[in-house]
Amino acid sequence: MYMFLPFLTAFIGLVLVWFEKRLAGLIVLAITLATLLVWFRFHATDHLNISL
Amino acid sequence: MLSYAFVDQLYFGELPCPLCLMQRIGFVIIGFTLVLNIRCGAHSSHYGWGILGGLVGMMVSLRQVFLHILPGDKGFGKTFLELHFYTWAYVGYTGLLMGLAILLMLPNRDVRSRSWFANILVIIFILLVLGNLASTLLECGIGPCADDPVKYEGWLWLRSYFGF
Repeated sequence: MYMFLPFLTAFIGLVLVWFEKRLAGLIVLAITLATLLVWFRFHATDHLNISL
Repeated sequence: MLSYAFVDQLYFGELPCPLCLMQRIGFVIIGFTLVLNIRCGAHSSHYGWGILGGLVGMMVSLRQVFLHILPGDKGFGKTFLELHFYTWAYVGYTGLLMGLAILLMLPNRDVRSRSWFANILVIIFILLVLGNLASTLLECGIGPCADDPVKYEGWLWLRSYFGF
């Protein structure tokens, strides 16, 4: 599990927002949120083998 | 929240677990949307993304609370004012979501700012995210993070790879 990925996408998105690339920033923000959701699902189901 | 998590990590030497890192990402998402407001002007979609990020982070923190809810369980990590950090994260998310709801009710004034104060706030936040990226890479490398991390595995891998 690549835990650094959401931080990387958030950092890239923040740099884009700094240069006022709003739409690109929003797209990268959506990717960050989706990655967090997938990571959480993985952790909640497969990783600890505990079913929610 | 993010800066105190760093203090706990660097000063008290307590490494964040995978769920703790996910809670940090939730706070980063909410901060991201506030930076969007400052740099590009207030927009309801910014608040919407912030609320979604807050809800996911809240789920993660609530799950960690549930993992340690049994009587006699000591919980994970140190406490701050008698509550564990994941419980504080849940409280923090609740407060931030309430804040976002109140901001949505206010008139949509121009919050776009180029003042030195706003710029410094944004730069500090970007540096915090960069610091989190670096610390996560040093802690976990590019593989999976340990459930109960006690050492910087990525840093140890770097040292053995480059021989320093």
